[in-house]
Amino acid sequence: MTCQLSKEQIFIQKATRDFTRGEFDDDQLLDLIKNKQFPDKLLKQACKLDLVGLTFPESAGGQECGMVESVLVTEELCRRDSTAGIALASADLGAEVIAHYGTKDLVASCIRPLLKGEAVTALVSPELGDTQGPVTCEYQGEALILNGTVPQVLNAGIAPYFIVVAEQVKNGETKGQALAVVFRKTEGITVSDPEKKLGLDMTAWHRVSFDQVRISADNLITAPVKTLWQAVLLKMSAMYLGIGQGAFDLALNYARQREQFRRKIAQFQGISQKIADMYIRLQGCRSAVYAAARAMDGGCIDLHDMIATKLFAEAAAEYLTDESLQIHGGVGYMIEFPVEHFFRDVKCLRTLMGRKITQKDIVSAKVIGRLT
Amino acid sequence: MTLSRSDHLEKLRMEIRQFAEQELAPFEQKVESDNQIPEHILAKMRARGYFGLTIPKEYGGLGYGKSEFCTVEEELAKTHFAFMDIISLNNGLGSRSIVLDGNEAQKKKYLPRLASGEWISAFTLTEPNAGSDAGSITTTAEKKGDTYVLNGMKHFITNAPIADVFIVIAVTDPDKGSKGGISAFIVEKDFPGISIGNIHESMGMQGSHKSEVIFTDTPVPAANLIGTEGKGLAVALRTVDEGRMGVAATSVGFASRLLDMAASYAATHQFNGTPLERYQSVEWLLADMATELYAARTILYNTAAKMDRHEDAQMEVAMCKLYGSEMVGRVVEKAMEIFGKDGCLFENVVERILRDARILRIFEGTAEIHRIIIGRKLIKGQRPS
Repeated sequence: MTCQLSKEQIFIQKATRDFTRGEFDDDQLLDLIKNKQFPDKLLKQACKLDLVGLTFPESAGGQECGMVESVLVTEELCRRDSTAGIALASADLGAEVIAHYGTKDLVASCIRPLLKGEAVTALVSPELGDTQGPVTCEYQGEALILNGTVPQVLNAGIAPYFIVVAEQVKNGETKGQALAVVFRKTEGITVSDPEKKLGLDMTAWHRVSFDQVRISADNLITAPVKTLWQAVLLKMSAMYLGIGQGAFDLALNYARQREQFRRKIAQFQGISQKIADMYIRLQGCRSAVYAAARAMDGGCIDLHDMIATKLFAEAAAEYLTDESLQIHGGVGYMIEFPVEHFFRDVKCLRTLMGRKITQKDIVSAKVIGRLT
Repeated sequence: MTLSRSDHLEKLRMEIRQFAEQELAPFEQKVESDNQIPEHILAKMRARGYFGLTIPKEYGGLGYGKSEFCTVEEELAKTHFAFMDIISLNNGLGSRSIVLDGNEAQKKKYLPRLASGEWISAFTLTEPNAGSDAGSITTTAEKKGDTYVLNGMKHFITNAPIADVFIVIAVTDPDKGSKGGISAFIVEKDFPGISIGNIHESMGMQGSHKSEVIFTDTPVPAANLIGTEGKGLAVALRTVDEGRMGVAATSVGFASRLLDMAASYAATHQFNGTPLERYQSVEWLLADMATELYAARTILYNTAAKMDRHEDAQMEVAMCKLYGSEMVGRVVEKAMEIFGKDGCLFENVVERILRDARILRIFEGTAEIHRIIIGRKLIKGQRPS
């Protein structure tokens, strides 16, 4: 099935694939997973190939590529390895809003190190659909004061700055959400030790607390918060697509080689039908994710449709990793086999923006509309 | 006054639950972190006879039937998988073949030690190229005088690194293979030529140890052959039911713990200022979890009772294992939805159960193999009852 990609897009896809095939080593990946280490070296290599910050404007040092290109890169990274792929693809998570809407100073101090692989971002946000806290910000003269604690912030241990979605409060009343960049060295910030968790073993989660943290109004980003959500949701969708494809590759490869009862297990109808079901879900997922990327490049996708795409891709990835593990049987449960961490990573990644229930509430509210 | 059957089981359940909550639960996170059950806990489990639940009383066991066995396994599984897993071999695959097909001398020698937990057993059937297709094993047992000489490699063997005795399934007649050429042996760890190969690290099941076992010219006295030569696969297959019922009981135990945890989390946590339990979708998730759990528990104890009446229940056992293991997979997903991000954290236990539960659909016969077992019986006209 062709996906009607342009020559440039195919070039970027192939460059990423060459990179993952050439540089990702199974033993090294397993070591990083066991030791819970961030793949620094791979990130630097990815930056050299301009695979990070692909969509940033040229003025910020980016490639000004479209979302389709960005999706292709993320897909290929996660296809080869879910844990390393997510670590690399989330290195610039949310940074689009700074690259496109931040002041010159912010771009210089935040985006440049990112493109060299010397820094990663950390997104401090409430769950999607939550309008209360957990971080609040209040004007005090020209400055803003931030307060609140957010658990499970990805990359908070190594990121030099946080992209914060805060609830704006004025005279005790909520005035919507604001986007701000808060540097880690600012007084009043505490970052906990890494939290022991289910998956994503190369990217740590930390609890981040803001206690009377004072930032300048210059650190505010004027973009609507929705812009940030859309970029993050599309990135996640691409991660799911890549993980799903990767899990499919592993299952197919195993089913073609593994013999039981004097036959390749792919020759049993029970298994071959599973492969067909997996292929169907995978292709549907790819269509949905590419369509969303194209819509975003055309500037016309609503938040609820982006959420729908993410939830669709998420369900596909859950299904694909689960079935892939099942096809592997006992070896699939062993950590030497990559499908083991593909499976855990999806379970962990899906909680990144909060619960499915509340995301579906946003979709249904929009689809059903206002009732009188 | 004698207790009715159900009162007796209920009393047993309460005793085990109290023990599990007071003595085991406080150590569950330690077991997970240390990958080991503390020795003082094992001592308590031995003292209570947990290693010999299914072993007949005359050989030092408690002589429990399937209903009692499932009750104990379910309650233990509500704490940490390892507590249930450590006793499962001595009560199932590690002793059943001796109980069912062993001779008097074998029973007298091995069963009391297994029942007391003095010895830990392992069941060595699976090989790298013989998983679901158990009949294609290549480990050989060649008869030389009154000794069999074992050669071959087994893998994914639960308890292997700590086992004192292995039940080994090996080929005695390569020409006959799975059709009468496979035999079962009792092999002690001190017999020459046994080595433990790679230890398998897995997604879950911390505190339970699995590894390869390699036999190199290991001599086994002919007296340690279980049953008759060539009947090894039949001996093995007669013993799988305990293991499968154990998996079904574990599934029910896990799901029951998850339901309690999810319900109490929903009652104590909020989203956007509203308690989670007031969201209709959360209410429905809990309803689905409880309904499936109830169904799995019902077929489990119905089947156990059927086995206790000595009726053929192979098909029902397969159904309990298949449905139970898939049920807990769905229940854990729903619990994760309620817990959200918190579900991924070590401290909340849900993530551990998610990892542990994933093996239930694979070991002791995969879900696919169970569908084949059930399907073939159905085609022959058999129906569950």
